[in-house]
Amino acid sequence: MVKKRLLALVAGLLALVALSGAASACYVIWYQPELPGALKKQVL
Amino acid sequence: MRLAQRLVRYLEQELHLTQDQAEIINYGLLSFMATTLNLLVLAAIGALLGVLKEALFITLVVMAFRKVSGGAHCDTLLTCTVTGTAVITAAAACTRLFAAGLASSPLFLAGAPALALVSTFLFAPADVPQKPITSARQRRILRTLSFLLLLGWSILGTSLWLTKNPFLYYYAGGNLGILWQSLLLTPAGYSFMSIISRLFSFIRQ
Repeated sequence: MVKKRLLALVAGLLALVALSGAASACYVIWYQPELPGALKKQVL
Repeated sequence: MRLAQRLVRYLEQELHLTQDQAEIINYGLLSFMATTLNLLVLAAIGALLGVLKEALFITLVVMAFRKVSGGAHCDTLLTCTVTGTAVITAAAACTRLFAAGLASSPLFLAGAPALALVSTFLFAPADVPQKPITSARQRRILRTLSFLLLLGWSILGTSLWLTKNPFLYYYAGGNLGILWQSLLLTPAGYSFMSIISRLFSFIRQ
């Protein structure tokens, strides 16, 4: 149960990173991974 | 990047994620890993050359400006890491070598944000094929944030100049980062990054 919660927390944090990257002009500084289709639907 | 795929597959199985959710998490993980790798390499090189603080401050400034204004990117993680590290380290070394002159020159202190303002007015937010900015609302928000960031940067510079604050040393370094990021917004910056990408791809072959 604890393991699942921890994994869900990690997944949630990574989703937050992804959403923040999708909402900004480019991810952060150098490399810009291809924006997945699932995120294109969610951008503003 | 195989490590990222494995981790996402593991999360997908354990948490019964949908394909869309897995894609989003994969993107977040790739972004996180790429940024962490870039920062670690930069910190290591900066520490080796004795310009760690300057390099980290310039990176922070470039990151903040880049997040809202966009700009050209290299096509692979390796190319981006090498180019970004080389440019930031060079800017940090220039800060160390020429800070006395740069920090005492009102032309440089005011000129760099002024050039960035022109570049932002003409080209921001500048997107890339990997992440097109298609929403008009998002474009408007990012453009406004870019101007606000430059305004804040200029106010900071003016107050440091007026109070003769020693932090002006780092501000001069940050200005070099602002100039670099302003170049990346322009078509010349896109051409430059494209040449670098082609050069790396030629070396790899």
